[in-house]
Amino acid sequence: MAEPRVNARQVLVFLDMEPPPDPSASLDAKRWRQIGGVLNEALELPAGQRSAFLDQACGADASLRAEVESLIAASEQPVLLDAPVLAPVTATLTMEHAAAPLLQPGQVVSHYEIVRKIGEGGMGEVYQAIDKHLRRTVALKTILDAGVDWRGQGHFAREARAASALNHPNIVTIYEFNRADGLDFIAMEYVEGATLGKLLSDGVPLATLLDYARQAANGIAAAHAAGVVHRDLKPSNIMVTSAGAVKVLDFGLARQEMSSSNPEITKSLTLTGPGAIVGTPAYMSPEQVHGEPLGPASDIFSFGVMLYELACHKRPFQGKTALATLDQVAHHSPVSPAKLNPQVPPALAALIEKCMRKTPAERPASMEEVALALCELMQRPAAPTSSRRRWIVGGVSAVLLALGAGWWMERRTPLSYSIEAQKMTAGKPAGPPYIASPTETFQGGWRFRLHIVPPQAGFVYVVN
Amino acid sequence: MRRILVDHARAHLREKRGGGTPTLVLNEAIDCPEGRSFELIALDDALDGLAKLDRQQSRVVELRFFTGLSIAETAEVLGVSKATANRDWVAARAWLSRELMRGKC
Repeated sequence: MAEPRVNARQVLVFLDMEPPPDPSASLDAKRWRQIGGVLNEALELPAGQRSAFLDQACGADASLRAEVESLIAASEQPVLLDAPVLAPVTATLTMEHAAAPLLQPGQVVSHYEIVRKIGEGGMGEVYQAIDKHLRRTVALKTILDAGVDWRGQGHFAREARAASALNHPNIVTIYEFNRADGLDFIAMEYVEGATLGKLLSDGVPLATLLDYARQAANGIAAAHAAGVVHRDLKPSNIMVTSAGAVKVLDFGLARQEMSSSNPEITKSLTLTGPGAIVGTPAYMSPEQVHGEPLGPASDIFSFGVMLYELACHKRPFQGKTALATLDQVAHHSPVSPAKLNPQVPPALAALIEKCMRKTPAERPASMEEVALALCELMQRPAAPTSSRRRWIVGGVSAVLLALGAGWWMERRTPLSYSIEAQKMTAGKPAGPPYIASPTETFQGGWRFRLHIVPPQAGFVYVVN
Repeated sequence: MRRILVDHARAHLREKRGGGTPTLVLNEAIDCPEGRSFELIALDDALDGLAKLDRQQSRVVELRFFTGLSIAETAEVLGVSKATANRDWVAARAWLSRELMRGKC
């Protein structure tokens, strides 16, 4: 296969912090234009001819000549300006209506056969493909950024390896990254469903969204435990499958994506090159903005921004330009969630506020803490100990829920329930508890707890 | 970018002088060594002055210096010809150079 065509159109984005130009030209400005014009012409001539040229161009205007001469002298000095602060930074955006896809259905890359293109990101394209050896569907992501050092010894490669070693139900598993026919690609778990962002705009209730967020938090906690920081948590990076499973995407991949499904909410810029600030401005942590080293606390901040958006349907930081947004992240406190949505439970508002503290040390100590806080939020305690909330343990293959006799008869108040499941090893908890769907299947070694709101007596049937 | 870098420089100097504000540390990745703090602030002030004379020229400087774009890239971003961008750059650079030199005295 020939050298792969660059699919992404290289567009340079000017991060503009200045207000629109002022049309009124002052006297100084007009004069400056005149001076600048003469200066440019003079500099285009060899030094020896300048004097004669200035005689002609300036005539009797001595001050004009003086200005131009002093500027000529100044331009011969080395200036601070000659060494840019940052190495060239290129912003790469992929247009929604981009050119024809790089790979065609039926095409074979390594041992994967392409089925269809399923999306586009800042790094390249994403395809649905079939692993011919294992006969399973995978997602194949092509990488167009030749500057990415995937297989070397650099920091990026190390993180990519750590990310690929992650194995958790709430994280999209990476199977391999490799190179075939001159094309770099990542093969990973194929996930079909909706992003949290889409669910939010579809009007899914907050309680459900929080449940999903909590599962995502579990996945992120596992990644942190393995030393991987996500760096780009946002609603479009969290997927909920049609089976109700929550998967966090793009772990440890420092290059960001522009989601084509909802550009308003998930617009991001990809900056490559040394000195790049990488992330999605609206979700970046203050330390990301300042280019400081990142840790799990940075993910916690971004997670808090997400919770804010789920609860308030608005982002806490939104400026007119990317830089304005970054400025807000770094220096401004957002409107309190309670003001935007009075129905936000105080505990949630407090959690959001704590996650979004500017100083990393003041945020929750770990994603596990956040997951636990979300879990407690959803328990909605009314009468604490009187409802039977004991753990039920056993080797089970399915869990069904039934309630006491009263349920079928009169149910005036809406009833909601959830089943909390926790994996056990040798009689001790082996992971954070999570909300299971009522028809989920478990292998042996789990325990379950039933939460009913409003609290009622009930039964959990455990079926082998 | 310019605002963030200049804020960094100002905070860095405040901190050096023993100010009470929280430390903002410039990451090496941004590649802006300590000694440039003073220069950056002086440049920032000078750029404000240039912007009053010619906004487009100040933008050219921002793009070239703070973002590291080439003349061709600058021209494309601003939607002007390369020749125009280059003339703007030459003039702006000369003016700023003179301003910075005067400032030092």
